[in-house]
Amino acid sequence: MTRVVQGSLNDLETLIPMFDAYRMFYKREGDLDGARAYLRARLERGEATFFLALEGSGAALGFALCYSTFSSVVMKPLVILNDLYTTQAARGQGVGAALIDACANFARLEGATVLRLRTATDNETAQRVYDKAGFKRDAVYYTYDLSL
Amino acid sequence: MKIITATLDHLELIAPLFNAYRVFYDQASDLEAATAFLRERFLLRESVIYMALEGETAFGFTQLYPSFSSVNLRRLWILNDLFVIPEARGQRVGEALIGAAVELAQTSGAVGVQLETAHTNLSGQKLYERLGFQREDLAYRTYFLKV
Repeated sequence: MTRVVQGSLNDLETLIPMFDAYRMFYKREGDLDGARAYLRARLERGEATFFLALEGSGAALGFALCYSTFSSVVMKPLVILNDLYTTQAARGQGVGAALIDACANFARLEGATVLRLRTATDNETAQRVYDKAGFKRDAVYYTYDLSL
Repeated sequence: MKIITATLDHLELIAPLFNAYRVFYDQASDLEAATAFLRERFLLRESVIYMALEGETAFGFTQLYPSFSSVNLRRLWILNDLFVIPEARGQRVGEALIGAAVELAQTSGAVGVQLETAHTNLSGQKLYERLGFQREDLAYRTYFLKV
């Protein structure tokens, strides 16, 4: 039975290996120490919120990490579901859906009207999960990036 | 014209512009709520606002929200709002405001600046592309869930 819990600084060591694997999926070099320092800073300053999916035994099956921001136009908080990851062994069991559910609930509690995410166009597996969870693809806006 | 970092002291100057910006995006005019929203962002240090000023008149503003790029383990700034009053358009006010935003991103060690603009906002797109922004719609898709 999968359960989803909100993580704290005490859960950092459970999160780090999955966060590192997630970054490697996006073609970044593995960096456990870098991940630890980054995540510690975000959590100490209340700049990120994360959820862990755990098996009955306590083994980690996945995580979701959100950043809170705002929608100026509607003058309300907006939550970005920035990172979602399920371990190889746990895929196809609804872990992603359970994590999304926790993030949607968190967004609601924050007073947000929208939970937003971006995904790679070629990541069709993820898009199926988002479609199923009720996400709609944005058809109004383009995203622009200036890389420094 | 000069670009300054807005503080709580500029609330009465900036709120009418913020209100006009929201009205442009089909929201009902509500100066009181706009003032309250900005006051909260200032007090909680949840955004950075740059304002274009000429004497006592504000010509435009940009509001940035701090965010992050997990894959890069770096800070990222969301350039959420950009507005120039109609009378001041075509004078590169927007460009000057974006310049201040880019400088903030550079000095804070951010990986970049991100923004969204409507498909129909062709003049905005032209400006962003001229300033080096790249459109990401081919590689990424944005999804939203109403909660």
